Amino acid sequence: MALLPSILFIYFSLASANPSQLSLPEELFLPLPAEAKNTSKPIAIKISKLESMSVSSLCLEDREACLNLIKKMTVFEKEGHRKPGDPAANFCEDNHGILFILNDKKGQQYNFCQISPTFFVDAWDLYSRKEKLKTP
Amino acid sequence: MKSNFFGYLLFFLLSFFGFKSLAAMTFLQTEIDAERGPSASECSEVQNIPMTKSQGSLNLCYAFSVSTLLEHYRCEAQKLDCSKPQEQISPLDVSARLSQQNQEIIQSGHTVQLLKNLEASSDKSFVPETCAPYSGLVLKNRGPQRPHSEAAWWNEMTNLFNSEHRAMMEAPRGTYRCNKGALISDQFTNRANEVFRAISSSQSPGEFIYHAAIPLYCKNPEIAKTVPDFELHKYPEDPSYKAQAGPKDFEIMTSQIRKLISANKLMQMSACTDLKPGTSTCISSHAVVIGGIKSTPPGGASGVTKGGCNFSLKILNSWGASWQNQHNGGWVNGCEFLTRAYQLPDGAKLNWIDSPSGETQSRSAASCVKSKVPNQIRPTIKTAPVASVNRAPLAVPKPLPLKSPNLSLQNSQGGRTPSGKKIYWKCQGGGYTAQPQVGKKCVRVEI
Repeated sequence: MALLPSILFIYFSLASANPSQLSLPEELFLPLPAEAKNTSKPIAIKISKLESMSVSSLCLEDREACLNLIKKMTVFEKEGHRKPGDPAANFCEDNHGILFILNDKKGQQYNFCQISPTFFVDAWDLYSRKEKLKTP
Repeated sequence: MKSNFFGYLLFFLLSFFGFKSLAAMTFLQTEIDAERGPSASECSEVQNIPMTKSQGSLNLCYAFSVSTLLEHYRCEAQKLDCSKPQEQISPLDVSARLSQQNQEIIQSGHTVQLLKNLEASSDKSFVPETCAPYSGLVLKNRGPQRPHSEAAWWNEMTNLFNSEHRAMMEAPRGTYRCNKGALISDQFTNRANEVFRAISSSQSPGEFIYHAAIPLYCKNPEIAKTVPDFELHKYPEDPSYKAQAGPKDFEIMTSQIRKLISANKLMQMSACTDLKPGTSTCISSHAVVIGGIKSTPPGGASGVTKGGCNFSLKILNSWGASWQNQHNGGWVNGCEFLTRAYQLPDGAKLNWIDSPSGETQSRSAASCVKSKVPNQIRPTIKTAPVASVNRAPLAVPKPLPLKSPNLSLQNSQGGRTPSGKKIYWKCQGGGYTAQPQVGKKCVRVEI
């Protein structure tokens, strides 16, 4: 009888285990160049959700300004031949954003687009938003 | 498989100890799990998958996909945990092996040529990614006048080499003065002399970029990641064989993919991302790694079976973890992906590496653990707006008609409510089921 709670726990843990769906980390880190690795600490960026997009937490403090910048980027797309490489990265850079490859604690790499000195948005969230707007 | 086994075990134990209602719930859960998606035996993933990478704006997908193959092969051969950042190999260093004459980084390289060169090379030691991180290549906080993207940095370095290398060669001995000294010392704080020397020693912009991107101290053999010797394999083996996209060839290709996945092998494949407007000529492609395959009933609960395709592939892309997240961990419509692969001039080709016969034994692949089903799955590889209009139609069977109107709601949410509760159906004259029964009055129950 004493085993039952453990068995229940194991069963429901396994049933809900979900490794292929990567969860968004709460904190990402700005990369450092090789020569600065021993002298500087990586800068952490806190990540939150805004309208189903992953953004830097400072975006929530000035929601309207952040959303306006996102809107501007997703409405005015630079036309031209598609560049090779990651389309979300190119979209960010073509629209005056700065693409950062941020790392989580485990070292997984995330593409974030810096749209102002303090606002970062997940580059794929931004790109998907633009694609959705294009679809009638 | 695992959860089903535990489910049946729990059902037996609970029944044995007299908890009949709990046992019934457990049995129900097990049955619903089995019904909801492909069973574990129909889904397999490669174990010990390397970390997700991002190539940013440079066209180096070929080097990123090859470095993923090399990392996994090394981790498996040396029994290392490939999810650790310290096991990563620098894709820039991998790219530099494409040229046999000198070490130069080349964009838009050919994956198979790179793999062939590596197979033949006696030097399979690579710079660790942690020493020369690609993500730290461009210092993005150096003010508005400095390049912020990898592509802009690449162009700046190319221009620097072209102007200074020529000036250096043409100037009479002892008279050369570097015009870009400030730029070099700004970009390469502690390595300015090393980079300056690379301008004269390099023969091409790509070679200079290699020396600029990878510091000398990272080439120390003591920290190098050495990959054991390997053999390159291809499928189809006959290079002249060009398969056509369609159910028959999909079946042949997927059986090969299943075979490799079950032997825990990652494989590289390229797919077309852009077609020339109004034609079926592919003008740009993208190289990725395949790390899993699963059967998905057409129009079934997995949500990735758009167009009636009955299998999904797990793609390890070099577009960052955000792409993987948005695509259900990398699971994409298999038919759509293979159709894009068949659009390449050479057709769909699988490339993988394996130990020279009989040296090591690889472990078996793992069954997939059930993943949450997203509400909407986006296309596999995003194409340009123009290309998407001219995309060749998928040669796949039509989706099966849905059995009941309620099913579509259930399928779209994968048997769960948005708040995560499980959806069951209690139908007249029967117990709980995962789906409403046709012709019977059913009540939806959320638990």
